[in-house]
Amino acid sequence: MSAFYQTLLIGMMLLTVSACGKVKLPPDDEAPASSTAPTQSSDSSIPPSNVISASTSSSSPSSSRPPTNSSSDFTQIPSSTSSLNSSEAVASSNASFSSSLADIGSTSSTNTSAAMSSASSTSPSSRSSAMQSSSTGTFNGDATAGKQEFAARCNFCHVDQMSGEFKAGVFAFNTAEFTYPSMSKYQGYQAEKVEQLADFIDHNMPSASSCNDACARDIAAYLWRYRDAASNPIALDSLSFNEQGLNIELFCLDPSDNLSLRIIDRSTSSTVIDDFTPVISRSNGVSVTQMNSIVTDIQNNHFTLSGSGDDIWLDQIFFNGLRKTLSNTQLDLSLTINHVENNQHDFSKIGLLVSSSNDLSGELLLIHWAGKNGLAEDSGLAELIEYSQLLGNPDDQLTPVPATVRVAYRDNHLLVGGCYDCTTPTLQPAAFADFVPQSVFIIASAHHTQDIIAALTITDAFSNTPQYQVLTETTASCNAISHTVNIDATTLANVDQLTVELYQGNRLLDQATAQREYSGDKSCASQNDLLAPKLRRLSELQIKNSLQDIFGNIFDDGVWPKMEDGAKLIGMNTQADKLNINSLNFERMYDASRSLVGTLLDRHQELQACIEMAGSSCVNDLINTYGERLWRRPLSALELAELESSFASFNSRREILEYAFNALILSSNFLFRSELGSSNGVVLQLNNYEIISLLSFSIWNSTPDQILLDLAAQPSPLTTAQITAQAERLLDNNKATAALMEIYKDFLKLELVLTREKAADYQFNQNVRETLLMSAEKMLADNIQAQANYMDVFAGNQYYVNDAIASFFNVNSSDSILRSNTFDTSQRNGILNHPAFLSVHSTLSQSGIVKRGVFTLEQLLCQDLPDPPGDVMPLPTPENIDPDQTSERDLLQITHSTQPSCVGCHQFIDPAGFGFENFDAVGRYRTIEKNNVPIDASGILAGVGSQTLSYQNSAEYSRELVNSPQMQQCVSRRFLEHYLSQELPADSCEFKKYQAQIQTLGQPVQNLVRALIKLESFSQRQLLQ
Amino acid sequence: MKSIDNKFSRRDLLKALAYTGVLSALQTETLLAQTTAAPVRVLLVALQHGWGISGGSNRFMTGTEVDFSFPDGLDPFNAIKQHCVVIDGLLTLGLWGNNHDLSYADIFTAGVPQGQESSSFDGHMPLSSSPSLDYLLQQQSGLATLRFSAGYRSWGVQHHPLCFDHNSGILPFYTKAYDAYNSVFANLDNSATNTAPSNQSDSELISRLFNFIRSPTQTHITQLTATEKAKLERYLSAATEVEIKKRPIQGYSGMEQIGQIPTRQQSSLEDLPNYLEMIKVGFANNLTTSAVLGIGDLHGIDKFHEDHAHGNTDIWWNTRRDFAQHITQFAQELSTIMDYDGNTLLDNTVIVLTGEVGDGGHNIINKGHIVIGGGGGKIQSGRYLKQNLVQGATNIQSLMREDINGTLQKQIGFGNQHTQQAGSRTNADLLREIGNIAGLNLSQFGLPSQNKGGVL
Repeated sequence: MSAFYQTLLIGMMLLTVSACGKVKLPPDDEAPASSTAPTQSSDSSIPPSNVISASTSSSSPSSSRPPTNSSSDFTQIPSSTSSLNSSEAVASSNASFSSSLADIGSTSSTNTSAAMSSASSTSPSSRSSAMQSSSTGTFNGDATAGKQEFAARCNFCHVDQMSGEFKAGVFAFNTAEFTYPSMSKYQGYQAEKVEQLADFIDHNMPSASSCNDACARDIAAYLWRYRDAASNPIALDSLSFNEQGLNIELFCLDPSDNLSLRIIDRSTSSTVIDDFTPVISRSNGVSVTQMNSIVTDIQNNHFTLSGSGDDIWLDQIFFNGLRKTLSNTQLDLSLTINHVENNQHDFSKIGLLVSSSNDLSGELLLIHWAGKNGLAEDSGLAELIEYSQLLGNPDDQLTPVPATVRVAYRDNHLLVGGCYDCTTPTLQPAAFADFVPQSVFIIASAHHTQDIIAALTITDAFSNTPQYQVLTETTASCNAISHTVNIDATTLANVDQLTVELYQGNRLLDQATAQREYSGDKSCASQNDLLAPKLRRLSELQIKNSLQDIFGNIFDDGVWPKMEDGAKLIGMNTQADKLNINSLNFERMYDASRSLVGTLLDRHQELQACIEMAGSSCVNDLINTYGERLWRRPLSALELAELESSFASFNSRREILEYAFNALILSSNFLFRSELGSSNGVVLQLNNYEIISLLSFSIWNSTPDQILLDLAAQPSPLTTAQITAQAERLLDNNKATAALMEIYKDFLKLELVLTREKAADYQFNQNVRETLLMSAEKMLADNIQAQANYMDVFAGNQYYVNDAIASFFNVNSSDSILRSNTFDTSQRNGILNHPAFLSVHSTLSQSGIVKRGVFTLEQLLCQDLPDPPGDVMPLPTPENIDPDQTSERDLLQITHSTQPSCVGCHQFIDPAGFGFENFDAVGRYRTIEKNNVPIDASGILAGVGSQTLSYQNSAEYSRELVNSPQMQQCVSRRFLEHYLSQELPADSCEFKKYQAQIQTLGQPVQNLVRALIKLESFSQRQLLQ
Repeated sequence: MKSIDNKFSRRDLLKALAYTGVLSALQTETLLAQTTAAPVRVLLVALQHGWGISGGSNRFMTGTEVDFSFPDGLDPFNAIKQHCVVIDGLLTLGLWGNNHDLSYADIFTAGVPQGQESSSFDGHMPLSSSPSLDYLLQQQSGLATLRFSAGYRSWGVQHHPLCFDHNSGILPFYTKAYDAYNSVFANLDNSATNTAPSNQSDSELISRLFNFIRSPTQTHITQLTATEKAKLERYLSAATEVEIKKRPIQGYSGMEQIGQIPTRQQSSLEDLPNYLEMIKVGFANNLTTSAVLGIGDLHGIDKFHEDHAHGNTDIWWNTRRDFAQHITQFAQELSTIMDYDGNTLLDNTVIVLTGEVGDGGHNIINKGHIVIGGGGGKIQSGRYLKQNLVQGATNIQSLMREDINGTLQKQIGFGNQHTQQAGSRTNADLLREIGNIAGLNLSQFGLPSQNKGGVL
């Protein structure tokens, strides 16, 4: 189940709470129906059937869940009505006993259901219930800590006999079944799962007030170990796998030695089919082909073979197949034909072809399923001329499937067999062939021009189990109830997931799988999670800022290139892979460059002076100086020579400068920031110039200044202190505020207010658009300059208004100057309630609940929504509904959101959009629509991280959003994506470290940059081969 | 495919004009001397939400193969139906995701791998693994394709990728007629606002300039990984294209010139006729032989997608009528222009009308296409072709498409494969045929699996 659908599920549950006042949990399919203890495997050499523990995500304690009436995993046996006993009666006085037990049952069932889909099939049986969370998909309880907790809290009443028995009169209980045989109150109740036990402890034990959540789970984990010990007294207790290595906790009820641990990398498994090579046999011989061209759906030894070849008889042996050369004479293969499609010919053949050579020139034996002709063998020398039927076809239809054919070489003879609906055919000597096999083919021939499709299973009696790489083996002894084994990371290679098998002698006692979880200190480089080097084209604004910073603000408006970059609403528009120089963009750069250089020649003092100067080296000086600034590094001698080699072609110094500056500006060295760096054998270390470029474009959204360029020229790598000092210098400049504001604008897509189409009634003219954008920019800039918390930049009730846009704020103004106005925070709250934002995220003439909702979820909260379903048509508005008298909110629900295929997502999208309903399509505050239909801008948005946002109006919604940890995390992620010019998954190493840095540094907006320069990705990239 | 030879030749026409006195003998001789071969021009048109024929539409084509009528809403096409081939309908992507977002990249490529639902361009949009037809035509002719977008976008993405090069690189569209005019036409000789550079020093500058910028880039390329290399290869390719364009002097070679010059502030709806005029002039003057036009839903109708497109409402059909009118007028204008070989420009043109979905709803398994024009005499027009439909359940193995690894996967992933009926021919089949009519030599187009047979 994806994280999104888990969120959906949780959200649906929470929504149900809001609607009904009570949670309705999904049906409990896992609840046992009988009162008997769970069945356990009698053969401890086979891992007991999974009673898989809860995944981390669903193992929250029951104390956080409202009670429920769903069925229980505790099966009630009729009990006496004896009065409650002393202290435990007190503990249960706040809640009815039955509801507590019901609660336990429902919680565990949900957990189990989730765990079944997430836990590894190789996890140890119920033993894994005590696994720590570092192990994949396990119950989150620490048995070792639980033992200590038990000793401290519980031992007074339940004396731990250290053997699985806890004795003390009526408080005695039995860990084999977790019943209270002597305490009437709990008589007849059993815990089926460790989660239930944890909940039981949490809710019913006297120490509940001080021992809940983790404490209860730890104790439950400890107690549960004894339960398993009855059948498996030695087991893996917990695995912890990180960059330091693997930590294995063994649980031993009895002292044990002669134990061994085998650490296995299952990612390197090989199966029978891995030994085969895909081939095609035609008239020109056997040729190797691509596996995926003939074989699909490979799952272990099951696969689908697409067979073709228009003949397979005599020497025309045409087929698609898989070939294996035998390294010895060990041959015992069985091929099961599970299903055949597109069979066009009675004599199509699917089977095993054995050859005495490596090709088809030797003696041959084909044992096969034959279209409508049963199971048969063909044989001959370099041809298939002999025929013998092995099993007839019971009717005149297609030969039955599943059918299995088998060929073996034993005691120097070839043997064959075949049967229908069986697994291991009996062998008999081949009818006409008997030779030493050298190669074997799995073949499918259509005996026809059209392909047949065969679903097959191959079994090798000599090697049919997947082979895995054993990373290391070690012996262990276990003289105490717990024993720890540490495996150093150096022996575990770069494996991220491994399997541990515990043996006593040759007997497999237990096994479990662990996923490597890196600690926060582990570098991204050593986690193989550094970013790949990229070329990053300058954005439109970066081109403008760079040229203005290099040459001064001497250029006319409107000369800057307008790039066709296909701006998007979701994500940041500075992604390196989306900004290209295609023919349109190049042309615009070319036109802009010609114009800009024209201006330089006319207005730039240094260039003008050079043009007028006679006999000077000023051209070379200018190219050296400005070449370095434009390319953000000095030009090499070769590059200078190439540039200068054309000078003689021009008639004047003006022409030379015009050529040279256009060449520098249009060069890819200006338009793209590179990350070539240099290899240190482990990572790609960015060079000084690349680092100062990243620094400068991150903080100023512009090119490095001369101070940075001079610093980068030093032969040694820049130090952290140097970079930090430069970062502070850059931050202490208005350009830093402007750059931060641009990131917020891109995040909110405010620039689109200039182009978003609006109905004519709104008089949303160009002046209004530009003024609204300016108003929003000023609001953002004020907040940034105040060094606000980066989330506070979204807040505030000071809006800039003038006469052009006053009506969009529902105020009057005759002032043409934008001035700050204070607004009622119960109506407008922050930039999310600014008309510029609201106009962008709305439709032509309506508020656009869905648009605003989707934008909120995907962009503001970084939640991935699935694509809309394939075929959805709006429902007609019911006849009894007057659209003119019905709110858009209600119409949306009636005609769209309630459709079964829509409700899954719209239950989140809609409440994410309802919260802006106090604002119309151009951001005017409203309490009614359609003249007299009241606006309802309240809602409950579930699944915002672990939160549910509940709001009464738009201002409140915006406040809730901005205060939510989910949006805080999302904003920081979008910033990092902007800085690094690429999308980053929430679990990426760099993002996790970025968040940690922000937590350390605090949340003033400038720290978004300070945190950046502390990341590895500020100076390193992945070393690609 | 059938070659039609029922047209007057240019020579016959000129002689007839001389005979009737319209042309003097001298003029006739001059024009006869100029008679030459004419290339086939191809215009590919993608309309958001499709043209409404086929599949789940609520208005259908009527009549027989040779005597047919367009439904109300597409009725303007009735005026040129003798130049049309209506194909009802073609299998395109298959059913396995959101048809809008999936199909943009496939419309002119037939190259989106099965199951590919995202890309580095967009998390909800795949890119094509093979080039679009216009790119192949551009490569063949050496003349840049005109790619125009009249608001072909949706709220989430400002530009939908329709055309691709051989590296899955998205080929850019002009998104404003004003920009397109200034880029392509404004500097041509005889144009209204000719500011083309023409002096020798400028020519030298351009030559030297483009020579220089290639050199460090080519060095840089060698140091990059494959994905990053593609960025600079695109840069170099763009430089070449722009260099050719900026070299003085390229001018009109025919009679047609731009009449209506677009303005900066005009709407996308106003851009549409400008684009069509630019394509007409481009074709007539042999400035290009290929063009792509993306048409969005331009009529400023609130909740158009939700309420009207998927509901096939009258409002939606009215917008189709407007677009059909524009296309019809364009075709009629082409039919009045005499091409180099004496045939009309419409005779030598193929216009393919399609969209990201077929019927306003989501039908992309039997998507309707309309082909207009004679294709240089190689298209027998005036026909309404009902494609055979294949039943999913019994032909599921023939409804397969390559995934990103080249492995064939079932195309019917949604709905009931027992009841789904898909076209027996595909957009790959149609585009392959159009490409060959235009002089390409394609044995297959797009994904190999999608090449199933002839359409026209």
